[in-house]
Amino acid sequence: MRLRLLCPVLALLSLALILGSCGDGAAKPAGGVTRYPVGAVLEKSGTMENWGDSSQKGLELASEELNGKDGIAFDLFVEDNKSTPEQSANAFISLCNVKNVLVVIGSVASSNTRAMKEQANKLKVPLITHASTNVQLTKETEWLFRVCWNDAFQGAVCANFAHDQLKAKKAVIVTDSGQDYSRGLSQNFRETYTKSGGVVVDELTYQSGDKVFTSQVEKLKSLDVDCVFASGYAAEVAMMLKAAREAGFSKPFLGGDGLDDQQFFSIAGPAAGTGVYLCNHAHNDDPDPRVQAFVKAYKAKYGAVPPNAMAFLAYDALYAVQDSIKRAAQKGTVTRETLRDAIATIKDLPLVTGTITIGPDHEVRKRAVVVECQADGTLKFVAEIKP
Amino acid sequence: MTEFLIQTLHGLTLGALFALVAIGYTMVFGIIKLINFAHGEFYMTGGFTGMLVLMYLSGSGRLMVHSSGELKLFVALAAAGMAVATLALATERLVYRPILGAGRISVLLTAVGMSMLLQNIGIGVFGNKNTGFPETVEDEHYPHTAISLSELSAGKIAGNLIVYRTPYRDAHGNILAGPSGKPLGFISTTLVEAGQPIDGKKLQVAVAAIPEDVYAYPALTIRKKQIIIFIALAVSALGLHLLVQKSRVGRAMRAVSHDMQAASLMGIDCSRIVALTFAIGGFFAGIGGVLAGGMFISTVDPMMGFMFGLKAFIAAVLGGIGNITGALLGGLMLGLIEQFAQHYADSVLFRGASSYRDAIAFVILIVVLLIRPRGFLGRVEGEKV
Repeated sequence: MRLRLLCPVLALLSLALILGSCGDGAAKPAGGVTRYPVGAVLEKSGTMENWGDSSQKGLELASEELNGKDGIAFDLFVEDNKSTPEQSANAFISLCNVKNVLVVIGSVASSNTRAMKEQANKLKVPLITHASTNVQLTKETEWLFRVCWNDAFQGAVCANFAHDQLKAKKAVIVTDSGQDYSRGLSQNFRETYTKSGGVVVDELTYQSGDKVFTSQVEKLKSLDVDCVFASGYAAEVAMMLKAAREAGFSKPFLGGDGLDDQQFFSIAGPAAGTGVYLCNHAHNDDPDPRVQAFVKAYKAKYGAVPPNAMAFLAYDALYAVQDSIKRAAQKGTVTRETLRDAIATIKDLPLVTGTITIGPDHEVRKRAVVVECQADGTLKFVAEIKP
Repeated sequence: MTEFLIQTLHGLTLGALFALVAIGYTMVFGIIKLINFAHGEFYMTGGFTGMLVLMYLSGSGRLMVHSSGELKLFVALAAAGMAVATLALATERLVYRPILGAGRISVLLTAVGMSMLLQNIGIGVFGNKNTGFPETVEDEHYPHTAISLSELSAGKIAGNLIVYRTPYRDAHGNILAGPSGKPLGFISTTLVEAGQPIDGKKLQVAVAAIPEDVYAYPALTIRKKQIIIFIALAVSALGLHLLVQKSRVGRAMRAVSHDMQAASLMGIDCSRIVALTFAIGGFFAGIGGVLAGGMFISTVDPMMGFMFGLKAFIAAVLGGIGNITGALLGGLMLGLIEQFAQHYADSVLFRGASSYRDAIAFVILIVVLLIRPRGFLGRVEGEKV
C-alpha cells in the first residue's frame, strides 16, 4: 500500500526536478535574448474583474508573441489590486521593490492609477496606464504615460458624434455622481456639445450601485430631447436603459468606453440593441491586418470570446514597452531612467488601437471609433473619428 | 398631479419590496432581540437561487420551456423561499444558537460576520459583478387598449398616450423569441404624448411605418410587475397575520416574544419557535430577493443585500422593530420617502440634491426616532411577535 503511493510521488518528484532544471536554463540569457522584468497592476478581482481579466489576457498574448523578438523577452508579474486604490498602491510598491521591475503597466480605473502615480513619482519607476482616461492623470508627473486617449478627447468625440451623426440638437446628460470618470466625461461632453451648437436640456444624476431608475426614467420621458449621454459604467447604464425602453422611451443612448463590458449585455439583454452607441478604442471588425491578426490570435488562445478594448490596450501597452526597451538598449544600458526617456519619445509606433506618438504632455493622439451595441452582445462599427 | 401619482406608485412598489425583507428583521428581533445582519444576504441568496432555478427550468428540453412566465416566476419564488428558509434554519442552528447565551454584543458581531461570510461566498461563486436575471413575465401596462390602425389614422383616440410596441430584433431584423416562441421583449415608442392633440398628417406618416401592435394608455398606468409585487406583499401579510394571530404556533410565538422564560415553563419548546421564526423570515427574504433583485430590478449581484438589507432594517425600525404591521408600514414609508427624495430634491432643494437621496431618507429616520424612539407602532403591545 505504501509502495503504491510512493511510486507516483517519486515519479512526480523526478519530473519536477527535470522541469525545474529546464526552467533554470531558460532564465539565463540564451542566444542573445535578455529577459526584462515587467510588472502589471490589474483589477483581477472586485467590481472590475472583467476588465482586469481581459487586460491580463492581452498582456500575456503580447508577451508570448514578443518572446525573443529583437533579443528581448519579458518576465511578466501581474498583481491584483482588488479594484481599489489602496491595493493598487501596495501592489505597485511591491512590484518595484520586491520584484525589481523596470516598468509597470496598469491599471484600468483612473482612481486606481492615480493612487499608483504618487508612488511612481516617489520611487521613480515608469508607469504606463493602458486604459485610464482621466485628464488629470498625466499632469505633474515625469513617470506616468498612457497609450490610450483621454476623456477630453473622448467627450469631444461623443459630442461631435451626437451632433453631426445622430443629428441630435438637444441632449440630456446622465452622470454617475460617485465616479471621477463619469463626472469628468460629462463635463467634457457638455463643453464640446454646447460649443458646436447643441443644447443640454437637463442633467440627471445617480450613484454607483443604484438599481432603481424609475425617477430618472420618468424625467427622461418628460423631456424633449434627441439623445441621452450616459457617462457612467456599464451596469447602471444598462439597468437604466432597460427601464427606459420598457417605459416607452426610445431615444438613442450614447456613452463612453466604460460601457464596453460584458455586464452591459448581460443586464440589458435584447434592449442593448435598441440604439446604444459608445466611443471605443478599437473594434474587432477593423479590416487593418494588424487588428485581424490580433483578434485571430486572441480567439485561438482564449476561446471564442472576442477581445474587448481592455485586451487591445493592454496588448498595445506591452508592445510600446518593447519598442522603448529596444531603443533604450540601442543607446546603452536599460535602466528605469533611460526606459522612461525612451517611452517619452515613442513616435509613430503602429499598434492595434492605432498609431501612437507620445507628446511632451505625456498624452497620445490617435483615432477613436464609435460602435453600436447589438442585441446579440456584439459591437458594430459605425464611425472612425480622428483627432 | 399625474406625475405625483406616478411617483407615489413607484415609491409604494419600492416600499413593498423593503417591507418583505423588513418582516424577517422585525420577527427575529421580536423573539430573541437579535438584529440579524445576515438577513440582507438571505435576500441576496434568494435572488441567486431564483436565477439558477429559472435558468435550469427554462433551458432547452427542460421541464418549463413552454410554461408561462407567471408560472415560472411562481416556481422560482417557491424554490427561493424554501432554499433561503433552509439556509436561515441552518444559520440559526449552527451559528446563532451555540452563542446565544454569550451576550448580545457577541451575537450581534457574529451576525455581522455571518453577513460578510455569505457575501464573500457569493463573490467567490458568482464573481463581484451584476448578472442579468432571466426575464419571466412580460412587461405589460394596465389599463391599455389595443387599437387598430384605421381607428388611429382616423384620429379617433384623443387625449391618450399612444404607444406602439415592436419586439426586439437581432441585426438581421428577425424577432428575438424566447424558448416558448414568444418575443423576448418589446421596445415601446411613444407616438402621441398624453393630453397632446393629434396631428393627423404626422400620425398617418407614422402609422404607415408601423407594422406592429399599437396601444393607447392613460398617462398613469400600473405595470404587471408592480401588480405582482403588491399581490405578493398582500398575500404574505395576510398569511403572516393568520399564522401569528390564529394558529397555535403563532400563539406560542407571541408567548415566547413576550417572555421566553415563562413560555418555556408553560411547556413551549422555545428553540423550535426561534428556529421557526428564522425560517419564516428567511422565506420572505428569499421571495423578496426574487421579486426585487430578480423580476423588478432584473439583475443580481453578491453585494445586493448590503444596502437593501440596511434599508429594510431601517424600515423595520421606522415602523417599530418587533412589530410586523410596523415593518410593512415602515417599508412602504421608506420607499415613498426615497422615491420622492430622488425625484423632487433637485427642484425643491438645490441642483444635485437627489445625489443625497439616502442621506435625506436617513435624516427623516433620525427625526422620526427623535420624536418617537420606538418607531410608529413600537408601543402597541398586543401585536408584538
